[in-house]
This record gives sequence, structure tokens and C-alpha cells, in this order.
Amino acid sequence: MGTGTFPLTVSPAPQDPNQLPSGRHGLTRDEVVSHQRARVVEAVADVVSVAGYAATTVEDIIVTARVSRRTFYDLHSNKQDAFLMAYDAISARLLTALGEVLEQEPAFTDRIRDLIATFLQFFHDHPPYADVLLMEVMAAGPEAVERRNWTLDALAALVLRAVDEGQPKRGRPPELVAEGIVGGMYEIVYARVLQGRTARLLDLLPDLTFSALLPYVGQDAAVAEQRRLRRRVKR
Amino acid sequence: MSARSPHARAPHQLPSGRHGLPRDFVVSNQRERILGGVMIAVSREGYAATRVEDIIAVAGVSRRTFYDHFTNKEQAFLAAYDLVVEQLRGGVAGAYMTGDTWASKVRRGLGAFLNLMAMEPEIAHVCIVEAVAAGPQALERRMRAMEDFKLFLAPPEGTRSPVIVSPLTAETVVGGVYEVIYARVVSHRTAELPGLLPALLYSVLLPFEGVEVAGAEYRRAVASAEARAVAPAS
Repeated sequence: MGTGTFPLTVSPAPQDPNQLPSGRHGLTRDEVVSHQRARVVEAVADVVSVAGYAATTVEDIIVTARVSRRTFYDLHSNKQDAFLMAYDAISARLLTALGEVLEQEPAFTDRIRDLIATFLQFFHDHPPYADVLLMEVMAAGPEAVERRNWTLDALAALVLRAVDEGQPKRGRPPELVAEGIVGGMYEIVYARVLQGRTARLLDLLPDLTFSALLPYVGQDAAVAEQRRLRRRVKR
Repeated sequence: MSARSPHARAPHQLPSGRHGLPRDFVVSNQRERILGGVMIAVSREGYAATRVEDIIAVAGVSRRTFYDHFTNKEQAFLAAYDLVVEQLRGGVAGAYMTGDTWASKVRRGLGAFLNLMAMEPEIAHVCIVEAVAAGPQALERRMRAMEDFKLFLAPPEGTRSPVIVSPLTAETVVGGVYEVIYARVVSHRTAELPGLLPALLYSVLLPFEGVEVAGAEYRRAVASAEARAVAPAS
């Protein structure tokens, strides 16, 4: 270590804090690749959220990710491939967060509320992820749309699991209701993101929770939870 | 009618040369052919890959004729989209009007919508899936169609509601119905749509009419679907 008199002369060229040091760094090949992949995921989300999928180029992605063209093409065959990987990584992150809600909460009403809260918080905290998962996925070709369907199915499966574990079999609404709830939530959040109102997403919690609970717990319990959440939002 | 040309000609194509048809008729026929051609070409190629050449080949009109009517692919697509949505709206509204209560209106209107989609799976695919890829004007039209859809699925003003409805309820319900339909159309399972009527009807009615009415309409829709399924065999 130097004395600190001329720190700039000993440090390497200015570097992005996320970028690995070049040369020998003691990381395994796998660690390097997974780090590069993670950078590409973030870069795809950032670029696509600004430029839109159609106008995004591989050049934009490699500049933002600070990987070489060679590295990019080692990982991906083209832009669409990189987008699909980013989509998969981000949707896996969302589904993991939602899965954890079911692990932590045992009660049905709490589970549904926290699933919705986590869903809203995820997009609120990461607006570019909303652009990838909700908006640009529609423009990225049929494989992307297929993945979006898969995500919606996975979300409906979480709701159905909560219903299965927390609601009596008798008097349950038709199974398709869960798919409708998840789809409705997607459409609502999509419309807000489209209008650039991502910052207000958390305000939706009381009403979305009401709509999701209504078919399962009935009107009185759904209204009670909605009122409780409204008071909490106001505070 | 003049003698048919021996050349291979699509049955909907007008004979070339002198045919004694008034100019207005020819023009509107050409326009319709182009609109039909857009739908077929886009359902074959996808919106992005469709070229004006593909459209005029299917429509059987000249490039010149195409550009007499439309400035580009997008304009032709939007006109075709509008026409289909208009027809769909007409079919759904007609069925809706035959119901006496709001619940039965929704049952008939939604049933008509699902049946119309199932009858024309390619057109359904173009309007629901491809429209999203066809640029900002198409997206705006989609938003407007959703608004109409919302009006049609929401109870008329002043209807007493046994449930305290939140302001987002109608939007959630309509969005949910739309996504359920979208998922079937995009994965080419449009034929399943009419079978989803009972559960979709339940989802729409529940927040506004309560569990009794929603449950009764659900059972009624299931029973009538079963009756229809049995009828041809008996």
C-alpha cells in the first residue's frame, strides 16, 4: 500500500464497481461467467427500459454491461437470446420472492396479501424489471410471449397452492378464478407502468387484495382486510 | 356477368378488364380484399415479417391499387383491425341486448364473444396477439377496445350491488378475463374458449352480484354447455 499521496497513480484505469478487475483475480471460470451473465441481465433490463426492445442493439447491451463483444457472443447468439435470458433470470427472482412468502406465512389472508405486496414491491423497486417482464416481453417475439404465459401460470399456481392449503374444498370458486386474479393484476400493473406510474404501485395493495380475497373469503373478510390496508397506506 | 376468365383466380377476385361494374363497387371491393389480405398475410407471417408484397399477393390486387387505398402496411393493418373489431362489437352487442337482467346480458354477450373467437381462430390471433406488435397506434386501439370491454362487463350505473366494490374491481375483472382469453389465443387453443364461459361468467358477476347470483349463473352455464355437448349425439 502506498502512503496515499498519489492514490490515482497506483490505481488501475477508472472502473465500474461492478466490473471485475482484469488480469489475475483468483476467480474460477464459472464465477467469471456467472458475473458476466448477471451484468448482461442488468444491462438488458436497463437498455430495453430506455430504448424499447425493438430499438435495442447488441452494441448497446455490451457497452452498458461492459463486456466485450466476444464475451457477449460466447454467452448469447443474439439480442433476442440475451433478452430471453434476462427475462428468465428476472422472472425467477420474482417467483423466488413470492415462493418465500408462502414459506413464511401460514394464514390464507396474510399469504394472499403478502403475495400481492411482494409483487408490487418488486416492480416498484426495480422499474426496469417491470419493463422486461410486463412491457417489452410483448415485443420480443413468440418465445418471449410463451415465457410470459409460463410466468402467469406459475403465479396462478402459487395462488392455487395457497387456496389448496388454506381453504375448505367445499364451496370453492372455479379454478380458473385464480388465473383471472393473476391476469387482472398483471393488466393493472401493466397499465400503470405504461403510464409511467410505477412509483405509485404500492397504493394498489388494498384494492388488489380485496379483489383477490373476495372469491375465497367472502365479502365481509375481504372488505375488512381492504380497510385495514387502506389505513396502513394512509399512514 | 361476363364469362369467367380461364386463368386461375381467387373466387372473391373481380374479373380484370371491362366488367361493367360501377367504380364505387370496384373500389370498395378492392379495399375489402386488401383488408382480408392483411388478415391472412399477418396470420401466416406475423406482423413484423409481413410485407406489402404478401398482402397484395393474397388480396390479388396490384401494388398500385394497394397504395391507392393505403399509405403503408400499418395503415392497412389498422383498417383491417378496426373492421374486425367493429364486426365483433356488433355480434357481441346483439347478443347482449337479448338478455333481460344484467347477469343474463353478460352471459349472452360473453358467450357470443367466446364463440366468435373460436369460430375464427386466425383472426382472433391477429387481433389479440399481432396487434400488440403493430406499433403505438395499434396499442392505443387495443387500450380503447379494453375500455369498451370494461364498459360491457361492468354493471350499468345505478345497479344495486350487494358487494361493496372497490374502484379497481372492474379493471381487475376485465384484465383477468382478457388475460385468460389471451393465453388461449396466443397458444393456439382458441377452441377451448367457449368452454371457459361458466368460470369467466362467475368471475365477472361475483363482485357485482354476489356469490348467490354468480353461483346460479355458473351452474346454469355449465348445464347449458353440457346440454349442447349431448345434443348432437342424441
